[in-house]
Amino acid sequence: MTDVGLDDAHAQLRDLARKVFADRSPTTAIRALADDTLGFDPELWRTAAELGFTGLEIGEEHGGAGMSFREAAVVLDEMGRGLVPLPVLSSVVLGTGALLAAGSPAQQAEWLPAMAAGERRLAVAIGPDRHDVRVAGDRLHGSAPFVLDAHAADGLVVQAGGKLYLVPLPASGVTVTPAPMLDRTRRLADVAFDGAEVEPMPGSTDGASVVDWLLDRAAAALALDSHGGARRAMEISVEYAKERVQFDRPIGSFQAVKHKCADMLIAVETTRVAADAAARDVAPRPDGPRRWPSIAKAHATDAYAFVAGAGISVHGGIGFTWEHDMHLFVKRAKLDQALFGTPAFHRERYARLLLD
Amino acid sequence: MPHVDGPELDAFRHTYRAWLAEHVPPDWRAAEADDPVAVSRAWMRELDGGGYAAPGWPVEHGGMAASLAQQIVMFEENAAADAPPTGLFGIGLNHAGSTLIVHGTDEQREHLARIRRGDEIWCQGFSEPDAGSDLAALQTRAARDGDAYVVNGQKVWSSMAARADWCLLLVRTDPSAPKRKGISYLLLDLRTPGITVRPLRQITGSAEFCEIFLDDVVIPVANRVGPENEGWRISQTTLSTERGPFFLASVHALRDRVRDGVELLRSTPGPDGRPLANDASVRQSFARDAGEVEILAELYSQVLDSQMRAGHAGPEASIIKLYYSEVLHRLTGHLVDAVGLAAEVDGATLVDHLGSWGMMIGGGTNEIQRNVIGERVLGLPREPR
Repeated sequence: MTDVGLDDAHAQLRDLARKVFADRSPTTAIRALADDTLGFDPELWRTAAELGFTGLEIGEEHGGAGMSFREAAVVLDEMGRGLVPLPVLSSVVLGTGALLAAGSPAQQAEWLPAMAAGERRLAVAIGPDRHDVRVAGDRLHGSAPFVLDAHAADGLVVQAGGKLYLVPLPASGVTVTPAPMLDRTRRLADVAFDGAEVEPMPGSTDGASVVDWLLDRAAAALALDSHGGARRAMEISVEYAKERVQFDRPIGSFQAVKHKCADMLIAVETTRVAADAAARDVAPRPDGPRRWPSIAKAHATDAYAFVAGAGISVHGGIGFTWEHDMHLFVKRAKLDQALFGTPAFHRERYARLLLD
Repeated sequence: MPHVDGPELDAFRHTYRAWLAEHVPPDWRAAEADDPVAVSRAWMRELDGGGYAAPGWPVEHGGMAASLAQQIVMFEENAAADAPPTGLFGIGLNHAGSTLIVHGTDEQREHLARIRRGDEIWCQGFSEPDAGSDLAALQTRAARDGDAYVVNGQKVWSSMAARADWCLLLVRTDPSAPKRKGISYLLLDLRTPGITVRPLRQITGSAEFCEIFLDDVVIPVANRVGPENEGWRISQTTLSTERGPFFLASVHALRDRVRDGVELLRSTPGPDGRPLANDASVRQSFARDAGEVEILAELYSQVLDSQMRAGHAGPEASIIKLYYSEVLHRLTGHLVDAVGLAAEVDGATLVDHLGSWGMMIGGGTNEIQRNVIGERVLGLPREPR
């Protein structure tokens, strides 16, 4: 069932991504990055760029592959599977998306080739959490907490008053303060603006639709990350349930454990179809509204948290140790739930389409 | 829902749509109030006249050897044309049909035409009071007496048995053999003396199911399907050869329930006098459930797609059954919780919710489905049994 919807080119891309991440980013390497300031391996980032992962949606005229979110989705799914710490969601999904939808030709010409090549990165401050940024003239004021990968970005896309602005970094009037994180596979930073000079992104004059589309792209990306991670956490747990013997029997033969594993599979399979549907839904350009990204974000991230948590239960005491990898999945799942709108935020967003 | 288009399917769709436009009786709903069985029988006869009664059967048995895609098209067109229901013939068309086509003698296969023409309604006599999830523990005894069996015992959960003409019956022919080895598969004419059919009232108040009591019922050996004591194997092919878009109607109905739920929440005032559709916690649970209905429809559409390619249903059917019944249970339960006392008085929403337990139990309980998923999909070791 897992390959439904994957054509041959996608299957090749998936196999390539899985192999690269398994070889270059095993959990031992991920753990070694826990206290690293950057939080990811620049060599792996370079490799990802060489393989084209950083420019999948960028047009060939700007040095990209000219593909769509469907292809990016394959990479995002595999990154979730491998708990891979790279600034892909921030820069490749959202930064690129903002430039494609709202950047002026000059902004696109300046940024997209460098982003496709992995030489520059953008972070995106669009909320929805406690986002409080105002624009006065061509100056920004206010604060944007929880900005993903702002510490490692060469520029920021900032939402203020429903429009998007571009701020190259470093810039005077912008302070980026990394936040302490429990999930060590991603980094957030608090960004404060105190009169920073900005360039408007002209394609965002109709405002909300581009921001909505970016939020939908983030939702779809996190649903895909959740699918990859949940499936891997389930596989690890099911393998353990087959091997671990108590009361002279593999624990997976007991219905209490077997039924938990069956529920994990339901969660993973439903997450797969929801995440795929969300990826299809955001692949075209901004015109909304789209129902799948919010359905998928709420369902998939909750499902991931359930599966990873059940994974700890299936493992028992060993699952509660720092040494075992299951807590890495739990922590990433909890961050996936909270990033770019909690499940409740996205359910309310879908409720507006359904009920209002 | 799956992609069922393309030039050939479109042509098929237009042909069938035109046929329906000419043949669906305009006044059938009025007649149904008086005699639903007669309406259903007459519609089967009409369908058979057009060659459409048993789409999934092979052509030599009066079917169309229709692809799954064509059957989905027919389902959609039936719904669009508001054609009369054929659910009474479900066991005949699916279970009896597939079993007799594969295992029946020529004489037994004469039932096929009668099923198609609406002359025979079938029911299934498998479960017993002490043989539910553990079906192979069945006790109904068939003692051989010359060229007949004399059958004594009790069957339960037989859908539609009160209206049925024939019954697919599993009986024990060798009590000394291990439990799966001593079972035979018989065809029972329900007019035979010694049969008492008693409707079983469900928690919803309706009585689709029946108990069947068998007291010295004589069944000719010629009505045995397959060899003596090999009934278990045949019953497994009955269930595994089930074809067709089995859950399509259920998934469509679930989407209708979401639409009805929107209306219910907009029209029912909450404690503050404003419509429930404005209540933050109601919005949360309804959006969650409605999202899951969309996910189920998407998942089912993929399962149908892979069935169309592979030609048979895999253990994914267990995932659909389990998820469908639990989504139905949550959606209806949350609506009941939201509307409060109004559910008690209006009744329909609460009855829907009560009915959802039937979906979680029937067709193999969800606990059994979790065993199937754990063992056949995830490869976990079997429990001792």
